[in-house]
Amino acid sequence: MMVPLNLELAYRGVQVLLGWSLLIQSLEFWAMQKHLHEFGEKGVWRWSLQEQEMPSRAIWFLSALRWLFAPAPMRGLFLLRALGALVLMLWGAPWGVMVFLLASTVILLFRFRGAFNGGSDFMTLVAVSALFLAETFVPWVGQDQAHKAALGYMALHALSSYFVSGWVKLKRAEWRSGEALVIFLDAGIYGPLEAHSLFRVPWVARLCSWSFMLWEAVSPSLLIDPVWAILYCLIAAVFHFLVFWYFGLNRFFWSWMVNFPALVYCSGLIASF
Amino acid sequence: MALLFFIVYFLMLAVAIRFKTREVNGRWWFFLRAFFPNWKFFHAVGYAPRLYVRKQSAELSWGPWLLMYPREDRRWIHLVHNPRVNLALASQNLVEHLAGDLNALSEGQDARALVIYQLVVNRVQVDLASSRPVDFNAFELELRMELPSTAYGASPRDTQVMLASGPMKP
Repeated sequence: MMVPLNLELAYRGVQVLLGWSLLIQSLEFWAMQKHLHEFGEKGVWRWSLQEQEMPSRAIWFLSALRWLFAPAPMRGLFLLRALGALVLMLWGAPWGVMVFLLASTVILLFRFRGAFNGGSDFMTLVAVSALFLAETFVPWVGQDQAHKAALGYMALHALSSYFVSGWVKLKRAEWRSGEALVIFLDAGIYGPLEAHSLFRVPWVARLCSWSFMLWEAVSPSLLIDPVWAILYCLIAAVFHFLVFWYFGLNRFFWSWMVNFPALVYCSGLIASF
Repeated sequence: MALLFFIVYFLMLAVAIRFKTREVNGRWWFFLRAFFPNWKFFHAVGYAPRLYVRKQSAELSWGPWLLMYPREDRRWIHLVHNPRVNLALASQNLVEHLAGDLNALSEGQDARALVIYQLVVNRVQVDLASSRPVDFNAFELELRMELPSTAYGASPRDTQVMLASGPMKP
């Protein structure tokens, strides 16, 4: 079986998609920071309040965060992060850029109580740390091995995310009956489902629920066939788009897409043995 | 070899899912939990936390309880630039975190001392300041746990008040 995506192309694909995802996130954060009623000294997310929760009371740590999380430095940080994302997209990932992107990702975890956008932050961190570790270990293990390990690590997390997400739902009676789907869609940020929405028809809700629960639960199967891996990723793109469409989670769409080249590459690699 | 590794890994994961894992606490862990994602999305169905707010007019009469839940208009551009919605979602996450932290409160501990409680109060104050009528004397909030219905527009099947703030000055 041919490997449909070679190592260089897959790694480059990850860099471009991760850069794009980080660029979107950084520009969104930058736009939010303009609102002082949200992030200013008297805003909702005022740092003087959140500082009380910091896990370390070391003076240097608190002083550094206090300076950094003032509105002006934060805007600067997001612009620098957007610049780093552009470099990643256009020229790849020099080690220094990956250090900055990883460090700023961790800094944001402190700013937003461990996560701003839940799972998309987690998946972004997976990709950023994978590329950071790969670039760090290139001098010791060589470029090919380091890049392969990074793609493998990302694929493992992506597959785990679908696998766990599918199986935990399969265990719940509300998901198996389709009831949970309607409840979650009704809670979507773009408004509840319409009165006559197809999703309110019990058998449609049940069919949709079972379809994507099973699709998620069998995610590891994509490793045995590269063609299935490509098809799986196409379905995943539609799935993540629907999550965006109903829940407004645009960052999920992009942060999961970053993994697609890694999934297709790993599938091809395993099939070639 | 690689295939064997993946097979063993996913078998172990399947076994792990069957058991309820122990919750790890600690502040460093909380802030750095993104390094150890559990990938359980939208799995918990049941009571959902909802924030209700009411205002007291300048004449000291209380208005109705109003649900504070983010609803936005959908736009295609949101796929690539969506700061408003993401901020609204983060605000709703504050409410969900508050419910979680209240559950973890030990006996006799005052919820008002929690940072997350104060963040939610901030959220309410800022939103009320931008809503009409602007001149009100006080406000209060309730955190309710609601069991949603699947019928269109129907009231929750059950509601339990988890926290009542009492009157606060704007």
